[in-house]
Amino acid sequence: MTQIDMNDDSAVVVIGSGAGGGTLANELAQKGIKVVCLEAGARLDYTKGFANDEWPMFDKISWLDKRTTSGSWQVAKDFPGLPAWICKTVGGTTVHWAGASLRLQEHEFRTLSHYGKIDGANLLDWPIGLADLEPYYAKAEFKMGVTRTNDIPGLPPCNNFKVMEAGAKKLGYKNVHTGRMAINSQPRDGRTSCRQLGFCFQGCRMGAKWSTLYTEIPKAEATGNFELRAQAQVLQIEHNANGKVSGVVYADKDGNQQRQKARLVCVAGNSIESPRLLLNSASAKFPDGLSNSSGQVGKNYMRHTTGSVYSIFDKPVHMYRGTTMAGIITDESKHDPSRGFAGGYELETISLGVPFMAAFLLPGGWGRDFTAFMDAYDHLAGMWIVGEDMPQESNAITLHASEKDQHGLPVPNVHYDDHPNDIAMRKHGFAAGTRIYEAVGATRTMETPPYPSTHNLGTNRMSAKAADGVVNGWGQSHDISNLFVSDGSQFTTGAGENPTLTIVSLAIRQADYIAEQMTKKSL
Amino acid sequence: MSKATINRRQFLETSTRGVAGGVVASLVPTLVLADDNWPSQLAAIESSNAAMLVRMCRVLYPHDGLSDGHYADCVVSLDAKAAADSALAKQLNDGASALNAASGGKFLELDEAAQVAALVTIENTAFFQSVRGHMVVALYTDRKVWAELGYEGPSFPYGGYLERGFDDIDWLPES
Ligand SMILES: Cc1cc2nc3c(=O)[nH]c(=O)nc-3n(C[C@H](O)[C@H](O)[C@H](O)COP(=O)(O)OP(=O)(O)OC[C@H]3O[C@@H](n4cnc5c(N)ncnc54)[C@H](O)[C@@H]3O)c2cc1C
Ligand code: SF4
Repeated sequence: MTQIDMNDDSAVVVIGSGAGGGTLANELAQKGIKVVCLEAGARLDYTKGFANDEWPMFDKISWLDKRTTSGSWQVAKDFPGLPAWICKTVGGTTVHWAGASLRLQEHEFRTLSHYGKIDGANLLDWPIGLADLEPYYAKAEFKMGVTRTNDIPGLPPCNNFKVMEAGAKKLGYKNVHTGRMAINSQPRDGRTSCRQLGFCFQGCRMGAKWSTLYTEIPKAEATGNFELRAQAQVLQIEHNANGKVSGVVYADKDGNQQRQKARLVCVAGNSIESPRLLLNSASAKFPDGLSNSSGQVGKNYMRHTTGSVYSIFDKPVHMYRGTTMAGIITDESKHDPSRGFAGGYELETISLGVPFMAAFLLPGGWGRDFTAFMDAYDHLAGMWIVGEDMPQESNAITLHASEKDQHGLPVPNVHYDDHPNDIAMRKHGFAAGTRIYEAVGATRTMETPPYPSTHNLGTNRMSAKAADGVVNGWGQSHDISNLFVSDGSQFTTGAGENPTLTIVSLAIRQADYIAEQMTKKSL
Repeated sequence: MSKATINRRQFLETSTRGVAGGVVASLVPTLVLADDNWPSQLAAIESSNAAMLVRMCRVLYPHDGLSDGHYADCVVSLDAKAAADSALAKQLNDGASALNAASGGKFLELDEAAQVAALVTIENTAFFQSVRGHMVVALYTDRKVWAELGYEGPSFPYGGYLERGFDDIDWLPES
């Protein structure tokens, strides 16, 4: 395996090996650029280390370093120590993700112009539009093997999807199908096809679902230009007297500090750790943290307006048999202010096993209202609402004043208040989901509150003007030209779609830009 | 530098409403009620409180199809935690005694509705949250309980559900 010298300042350092970091690192390595990828988590082998068991897999690969919460969101009450569900492992959250891969809609890149000003919302147009991303969406879909693109057939409908589809059709919904999924419906790219295990959230034991763990990372390694260092948690990004970043300090697996020099640094630690790292890298020259002249680092935290609907039916469903996200209704994803809110949402099937169902169905719940649903476990169908939430400057990742992590660094606090638009959208989604299930005979329905955030976005947002955000349309810092943000924290607004296809597309596009700038010697 | 990582148990237990626990189901392989003497084998929970806690667990998560043995298993695993945590042991023993005392020493004789009402009055206590937080993980990670609820558990060893009923629903209206 290639080893890159700690003092090699011609290397690109990528922090994080998930959707953004893993993709960017591979794309750069394919172009002959030397890359060191530093990943805080350990490397697992999916053929050995993945169990079909919810809590053991959660314990094994989730990011469990201390975090605190504040704000009026329900998650702060139900899961005060677990604001987000993010992985700390090679592959990042692409190990746990479900695979839903949707393009954003054209108007979602220009929400301020399209929706107009909304009180309390910090809306802004992206500095790029759908046309800029389209060629990269196509590349990402090909790379990830997204079903219903590139002539790849859709996955077959499973029980949970069939219930949702039947209800949706009865109500007149038109756009209902088994989704655009980064899950092989037929063998492809050296990986086998889905066998409907039903444990997508635990890591795909078949390797049928795209994850950087067994796609981008080994492909990058094969180039000879790439070194992955697992169990390497970056503590600080350093800069030189000219205000350019010069390297990073990280804790290795034994807790010893190491310094890796760098020509440029790309941050892809997901939307809580990325801004935290920039804030924790404050120096005499940058007292508010790196790339924070706008004061927007950590601000505008978004997590999608979510909620789930679980219904009991008279006859069995067995929703847990088959892909976790097995299909979608896209009719509600339009912007239609007559519904009483801006933006739209998707309805996607979801299923949890008994252990997670007990924890998440009705957090804190007990007694017969709760156990009625558990008793009916094999008669349940479930769907998830995922919609655009409003960016608010006060929803933010900040450094905790006194709590420190195992490395002595301030832990992140995650503050979130629902915007009235978010509440109105969630209510609409709950009602729609309930109607869909009642149309095919649901006898009881539970409106399940949001889980810890799986879609974490916006905390280093892109902006045309340096005063409005942290990075430009390429994910390049407005303040420091050799510092990039390469994950979902770049999102200017959240849109109504699951974010990962867009994160991957942005990473492919960013790699082209970095390579071009390096050739021009501008970087 | 300390390498201490926080496990699920620690951070979820800080929650007032969230889940807590961390019980490996395989630690309790058999239904303990098979042995009538099980309360005397508890390490930290006083045997006089054992039946109280079993009943409390059943009232929290009532499943008429489950025998008391499943709930007793959870009390045994809770006892294992309390054996390593004297503050928890005291909280459980004091809490169970107080709950019983509040019903004139007759909690076990109350009907379910009255037992629920008694639990509602202590819902915000640390004792209640310790028991509930443990239970919601311990009971529902027990593979014997999965079978009772109709959950089939790991599917990889059987080749997934592709040929085992992933799409076998037969009662939906034709679309
Ligand atoms: C259960 C679940 C289901 C999901 N389903 C979907 C879906 O169907 N569709 C979809 O689009 N999205 C889905 N998501 C979301 C998706 O996983 C994320 O959007 C995506 O993985 C984010 O990519 P990222 O690169 O920003 O971060 P991640 O993939 O989270 O990667 C970040 C990596 O950085 C590492 N890291 C962080 N800080 C440091 C540091 N200081 N030093 C070194 N390494 C560090 C982390 O350990 C991690 O490996 C799901 C998420 C979950 C939890
Ligand atoms: S259902 Fe398919 S994608 Fe999900 S874990 Fe199983 S094989 Fe992988």
